[in-house]
Amino acid sequence: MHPLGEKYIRKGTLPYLWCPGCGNGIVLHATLSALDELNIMDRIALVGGIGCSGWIPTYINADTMHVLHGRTIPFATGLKMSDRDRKVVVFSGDGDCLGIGGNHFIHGARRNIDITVVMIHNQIYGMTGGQVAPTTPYNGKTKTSPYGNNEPPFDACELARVAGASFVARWTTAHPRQLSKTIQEAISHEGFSFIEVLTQCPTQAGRVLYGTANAAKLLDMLKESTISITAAKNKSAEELQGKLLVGKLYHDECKPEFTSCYYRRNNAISSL
Amino acid sequence: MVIIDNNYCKGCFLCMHYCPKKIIDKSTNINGKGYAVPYIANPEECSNCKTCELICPELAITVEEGDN
Repeated sequence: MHPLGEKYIRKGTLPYLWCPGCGNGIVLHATLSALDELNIMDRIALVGGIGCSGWIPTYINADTMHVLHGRTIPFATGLKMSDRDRKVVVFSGDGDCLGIGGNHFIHGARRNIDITVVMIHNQIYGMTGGQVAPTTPYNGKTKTSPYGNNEPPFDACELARVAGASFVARWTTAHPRQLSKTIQEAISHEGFSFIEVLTQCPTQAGRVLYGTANAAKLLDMLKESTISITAAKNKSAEELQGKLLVGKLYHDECKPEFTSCYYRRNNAISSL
Repeated sequence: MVIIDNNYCKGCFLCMHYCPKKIIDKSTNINGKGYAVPYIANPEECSNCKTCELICPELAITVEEGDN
């Protein structure tokens, strides 16, 4: 096993529950290398929601919570408020974060509370059998939309930005190096950090939406459908047609952070 | 040097697809879980770029500095 796995993985939980070729393992590896680089394993708390991606924290030998469906951000908020020195990282799926927990997500972003949300985006409800999700592309065929999806999907990064998040980034599992670096930067950032990770789901989204269960082909599709924000600067509008921007999309250092504002106000009131 | 831990491999072959030098290939070996596992076909061409290590979803690949 990889040295990072030897160091930080709970051996009794192996093997992973994920299907062969699943992107969650790549996100787990990127997170482990980011945490190792920052050397903050003793003051980190990981929160996982319900869904395949909610299992990511449970494999890591750190303080973890596996919570109710869609309620990752409320639990993380409570944790951060009671223990300010802790760095809180949330792992949530697209259905968990934008569907069931959509309201919590926008309010977490609005408060600009210092938590890092890694949203694993596989475009479908994978664990429950491949139902249509709030991120399924328009016209996409799933088990519950066999003639095509009528609903346009969410742009999660745009939603986080307009709701008030101070760090917004998007990567795919085809960019593991960049993803690890961005997770590192997001954990160090004070404020609500949101990272959308587009992943392949060979079993559900792959077979039903894209007609292939080959993880390598799905990863190639992800890579082809995206363009880095730095490379996009020199491209014309026609060349960017249908391409999704990846990279650090928004970063604001000056926005006030919720917990520090709260404690400052609390101290001011108690000294009256 | 690329080391593949067959106990954890699930045979997705992302390592084979993403290797820039194409040194990894499918083998006929089956591991304990019943998955066909990859093997290093041309170890001398490895450039230690660690792409296979990062793309492996099972943390089954380790790349160590030095010759194969």
